[in-house]
Amino acid sequence: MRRTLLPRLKIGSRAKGLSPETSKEAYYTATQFQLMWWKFQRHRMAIIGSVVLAIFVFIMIFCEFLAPYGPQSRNSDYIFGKPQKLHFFDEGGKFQGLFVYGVETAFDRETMQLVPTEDRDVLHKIKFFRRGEPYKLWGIIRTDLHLFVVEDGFVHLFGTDNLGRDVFSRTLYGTRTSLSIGFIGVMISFVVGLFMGGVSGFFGGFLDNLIQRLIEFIRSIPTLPLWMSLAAALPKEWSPLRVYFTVTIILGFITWTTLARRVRGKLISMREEDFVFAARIAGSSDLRIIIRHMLPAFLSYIIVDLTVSFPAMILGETTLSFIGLGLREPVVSWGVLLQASQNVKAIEQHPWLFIPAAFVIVSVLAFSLVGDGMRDAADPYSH
Amino acid sequence: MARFIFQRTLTMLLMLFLLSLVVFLVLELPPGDFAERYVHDLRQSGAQVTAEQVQLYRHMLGLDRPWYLRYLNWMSGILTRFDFGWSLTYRMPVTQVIGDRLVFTVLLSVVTIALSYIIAIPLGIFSAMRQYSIGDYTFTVLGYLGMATPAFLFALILLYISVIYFNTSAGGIFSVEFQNQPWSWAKLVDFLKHMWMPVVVLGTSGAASTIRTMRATMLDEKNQLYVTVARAKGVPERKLIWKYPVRAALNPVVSTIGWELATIVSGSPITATVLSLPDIGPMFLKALLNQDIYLSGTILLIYSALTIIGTFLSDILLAVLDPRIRLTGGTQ
Amino acid sequence: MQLNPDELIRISNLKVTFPLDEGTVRALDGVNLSIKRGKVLGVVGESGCGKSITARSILRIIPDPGKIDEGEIWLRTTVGSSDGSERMVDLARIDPNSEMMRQIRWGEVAMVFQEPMTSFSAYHTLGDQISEALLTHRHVSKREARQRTIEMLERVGIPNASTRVNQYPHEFSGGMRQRAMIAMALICNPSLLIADEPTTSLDVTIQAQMLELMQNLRQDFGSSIMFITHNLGVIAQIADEVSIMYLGKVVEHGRVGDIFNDPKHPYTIDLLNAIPKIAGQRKDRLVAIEGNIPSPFERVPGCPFHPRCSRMIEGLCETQAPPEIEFGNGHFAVCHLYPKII
Repeated sequence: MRRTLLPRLKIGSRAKGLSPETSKEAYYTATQFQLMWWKFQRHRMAIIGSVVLAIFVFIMIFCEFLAPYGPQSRNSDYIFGKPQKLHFFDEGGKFQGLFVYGVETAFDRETMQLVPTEDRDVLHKIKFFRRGEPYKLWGIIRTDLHLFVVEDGFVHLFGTDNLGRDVFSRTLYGTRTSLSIGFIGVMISFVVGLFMGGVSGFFGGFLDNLIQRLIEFIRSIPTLPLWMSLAAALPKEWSPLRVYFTVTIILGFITWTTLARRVRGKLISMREEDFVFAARIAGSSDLRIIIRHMLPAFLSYIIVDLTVSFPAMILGETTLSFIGLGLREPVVSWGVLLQASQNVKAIEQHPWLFIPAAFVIVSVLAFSLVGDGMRDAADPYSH
Repeated sequence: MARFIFQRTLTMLLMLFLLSLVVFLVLELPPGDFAERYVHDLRQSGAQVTAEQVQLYRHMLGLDRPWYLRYLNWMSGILTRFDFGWSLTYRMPVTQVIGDRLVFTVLLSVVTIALSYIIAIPLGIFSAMRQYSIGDYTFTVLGYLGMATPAFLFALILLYISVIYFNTSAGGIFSVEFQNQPWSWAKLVDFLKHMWMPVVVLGTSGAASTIRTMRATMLDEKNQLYVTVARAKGVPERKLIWKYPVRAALNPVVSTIGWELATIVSGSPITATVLSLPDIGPMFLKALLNQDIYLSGTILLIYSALTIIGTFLSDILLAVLDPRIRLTGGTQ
Repeated sequence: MQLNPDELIRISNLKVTFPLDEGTVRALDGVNLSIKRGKVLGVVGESGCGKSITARSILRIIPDPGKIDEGEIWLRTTVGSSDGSERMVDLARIDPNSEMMRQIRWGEVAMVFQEPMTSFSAYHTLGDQISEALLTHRHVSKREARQRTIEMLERVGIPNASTRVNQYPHEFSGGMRQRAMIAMALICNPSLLIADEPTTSLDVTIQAQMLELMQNLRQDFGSSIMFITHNLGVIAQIADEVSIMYLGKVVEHGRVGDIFNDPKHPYTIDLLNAIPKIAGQRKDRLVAIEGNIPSPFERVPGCPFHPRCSRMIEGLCETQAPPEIEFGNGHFAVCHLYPKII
């Protein structure tokens, strides 16, 4: 009913403030990506998700600059230190700008231990865009500019760990590692999936059969135990970097099957289409037909599938590293950071070490929201 | 239909066979073997072990034979004597090591899935019928959160909350005082007090996706023409909803029960470790780390077999529950 | 409002709108029509003119977010009266979820939908779905309902009805499903049967069979029929009276002979010219009506047909709403072309 009454009408015309006539025009002449964008914009949650993701990507790119300290810098004066609170007003209610209180170490006679406590007489003002610890941006550019530092004393917004390392800085560095594993893993599964699905769908026949059976087989192995077994097979002597790449490849190699299936399905349905036939008559090579004519027609679906497979990558890395089968120190990832809170006792004593968990959850949530919005928008003419 | 089931059974058996091979190969991947690791540990603790002794030990365990012979040996043991090999760390037959834990794992998963369906299906229907209501939004948000939170983190969060706010002992399945007691009413209560957490943790993600699927299919189905026809027929609204769109929406949800079960079982090792459950998960992790190859191999085989059998069940259910597939003999 | 003694239902000035994100669609913009007892009214128009919405308004099953803004739908019914006497109810004003409405649905007014392939649930047998109608409205046992269902299926020409009653919709062809749909529609012996393009999605030979079936059943059951179609040829076969709809309005109404022999509204004339004629000269080209239906969000001032009308009067048709002119014998047209008094 609704279908006959509302034949594919101007999506987003109101948002664009167009009159019905021009917007109809715009609708019919819009490129596929414009249509998808208009539709995507209507998903408020997906928009929020994209903003969150943008922030994560920004952190991933500029973590050295955003973090006040390096991932391995230790502060021996503040071991297992609590997160310091940010203040604007001092004890007397006087506005001081953004600052943290200093910390002094007191001796607790009951427990016979040194306990760091807030020293309300000392204010450390947060200074923005100042020099601090030197670092190499992306391992290339030597600089010491940080988003914020305190000039004397220290600032640990998320507290410190057992070696006095800044959890805030480490979480930002962990963001880079965990997300980059996601990106590289997704890229691997993209390339493998596209290739296998492409071969399967375009040539058909024996190859298709073989690849389909292979996919069925891989899908019948439960992911987590397989990941665990493969990760456990990595030699202990390997360098952290090598482990990093291998773990990424393991994650990527198991998730390509979904994409391969999608690509194959689309190719098969498209093989018979007129425009492919026309291209073939015009003498285009197989490869050219696939890349130039068929791929653009279902690129949107591929992008959606890739977005949706991101969370699995992130969760895979986090889980493996958490139980000690994945990445290891000195590599810092969310999973590695969470190793510090493997049991309740640890969380009970140092709850701030659990903060990276929030990053995991928020990033996965954001990817799911964006993925849902994109899935809906990928079919721009549907309702 | 019979032919369909027969075909699926054959495929399943072939898959199981291939899987056992792959499982074995994967576990053969790491360099070194149990003997080496064992000797390494011995040396660490100060014992003098000669290379000859290592060789002897290796021979004793049968680790010096080529992998295919060991595989064939393992397989024939499983097929003829239901003998899954010898656990090198526990120094016991694998079947004995796993036994109770496997029963516990399966029971826990079944209870979890039953509860998650009982809760998620009505919530999904509710969300769809009251689309855009506060309840719908709440369940949608909870659903997203449930899917975004990895189970082991969720387990840690719940443990933390129960320790901090309820001051209960956490993890395990019994309190210390009941550990070695015979079953009694008090012990049962204590058991239930502990069990809610693993059930919630393992069930949440599945329940969240069930709510979403149920809601989405309901929304789709309730605008179908046949529902309008039923309404035009004067069938009372409540009866109409339960008879038509709910029936259609239940189909994909109920048919995937096999997959869900397999997902829960194979997704549980980390959670079980965090919650220190007497499940096969923690044992699997330990076996992997110790290169206790028959133990980890058997557990990996169990996980895979459950997945394959779950898929098989779901395929059959899908066919049985949908008259369109059931009556055309499942030629899809 | 008083219905004439021979009238079963009368719709007057019915306005239905769909408020959407993109703007408000005026699906019905003041529809007037009436159906006499035991007669067949053909409703004709292009797709999107509001035929189906009119039909659904009677049953109050307009899809969301559509709503009735104005107008009346008076139906003569025995529902709700204790002694079985007839009374008149305005369907536009009663709550669509009320018990009254529920009883009228299928008990008094039944409908055959356009798509037989999706009108039935795939998960229930046809027999279940057909007898459900009877069990909902009439006091019968399950056994009796089943028996009646088999009888009805036989009446509409489904062979082996007693076995087929247990089969699922996918085991029936489109034509067979539509027959089953008609059986379901007639099983409660409704006073009004709405047929919403029941033959459109079927192939031509099946269409002819369906029309024949409807003709026969009409005589047996004595229901009034509202037959919606965009095919004037079908109307000529089956209808007693015709209403021509354009953009949510009825632009011409009359007895079938009057409409075919002496059409008054330019739209009707164009529609009739668009029918291919077998006896015509080979060189005659098929005549199409110029232009397209305007966007449903626009409100066309004056006569809604003026942008496409070949006989448009400048300065009048695009500014003033046309009057309703009667030509005798209940033949009306809504057009500026005719002087007020005839």
